[in-house]
Amino acid sequence: MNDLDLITELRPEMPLAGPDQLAHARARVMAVVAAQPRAPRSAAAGPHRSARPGRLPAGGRGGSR
Amino acid sequence: MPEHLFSATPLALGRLPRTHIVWSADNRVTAAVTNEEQHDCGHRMRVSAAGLPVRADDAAIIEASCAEPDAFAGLFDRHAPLILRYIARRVGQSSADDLVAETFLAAFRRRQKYDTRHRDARPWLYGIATHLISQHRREESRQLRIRLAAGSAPEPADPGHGDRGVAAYVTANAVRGVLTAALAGLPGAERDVLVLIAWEQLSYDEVARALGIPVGTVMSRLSRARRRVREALARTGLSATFKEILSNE
Repeated sequence: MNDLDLITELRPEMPLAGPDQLAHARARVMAVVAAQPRAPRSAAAGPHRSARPGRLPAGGRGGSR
Repeated sequence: MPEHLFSATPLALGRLPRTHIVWSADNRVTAAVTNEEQHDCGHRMRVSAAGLPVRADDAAIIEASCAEPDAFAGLFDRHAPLILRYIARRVGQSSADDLVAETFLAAFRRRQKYDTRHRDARPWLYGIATHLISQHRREESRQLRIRLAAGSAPEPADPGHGDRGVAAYVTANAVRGVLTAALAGLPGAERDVLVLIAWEQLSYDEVARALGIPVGTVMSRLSRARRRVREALARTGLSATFKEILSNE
C-alpha cells in the first residue's frame, strides 16, 4: 500500500444515484434540450466544421472540450 | 424492446450515414447507431451482425444529438450517475444535484465541438464537472473540513484484538485525518489530478483529456501532490506504521 492507495482509501464510498435521484437534474437538462430546435439538415453545424465558408478553422480540428 | 426507432441523417456531420436513434418505452434514448458499411468519414461505429441496433458509443450519441437534440438524453442517462457521485464526493450532495445538471447543460452546449475520435465521453464530462467544481473551491474545502471534524472512518462495531484493535482504529483515523488535511491543503490543480486518478480511477491519458493538459503535466502534478501527501504523513511520525495499520484494518 503506497500513498496513492491511501488517498484511494480516503474516497467517500457512495452508491450510484438511481433515476429518482437524478430526475430533477434530468428534467432541467431536457427542458433546455427540448427548447433547442431541431437543426435543418442544410444548416446544422457539426464537429470540425468551419464557421466561415471558404476559410479553414482557426484552431484546426475540434478539441474535446 | 424499443418502442420507437427514429432515423435521421445529420448532414452537418459531413458524410455520416443515417443515424438510428432507439427510444425505450419510457422515452429514454437507448442507442444511436449507424450502418458501418455506409460510413466513410473515418469514425468506426458499432453495429450488430444482423444489422440490429446495438448500444451506441458516446460519440455516436453526441453526433446524433447535433441533428436530433433529444438524443442527448442517452448521454445523460448513461453517465449522470457517475458524474453525480464524483461531484458529491468533492463538494457534497447538496451542491452536486445542481452541478450535475450544469455539467450536462455545458456538455450539451459544447456538443458540436466534441472530438468524435474519442468514443468514450466520460473524460470530457469529468473535465466539465471538474471545471465547475473549481468554481466551488470553498464548498470543497468545507466538505473536507466536515469530513476531518467528523472522523473519516465509521467506528467498527467490533474493533477486534482488544486494546490493540482500538489503538489501531484510533491511529488509522489519525492517518486519515492527516491525509484529509493534506488533500485539503493541495493546490486545486494538483487535487484535481490526484482525485481523478485515485478516486475516479482515470488513466493519465484520460485525465489529460479531461483537463485539457499534456500527459506530462498530469504526471508532474500527480508527482507533486503525492510528495506533499508523503511529507504530511512524515511530519506526523505515523508514517512508519500507517501501512501496517491500514492494511490490518
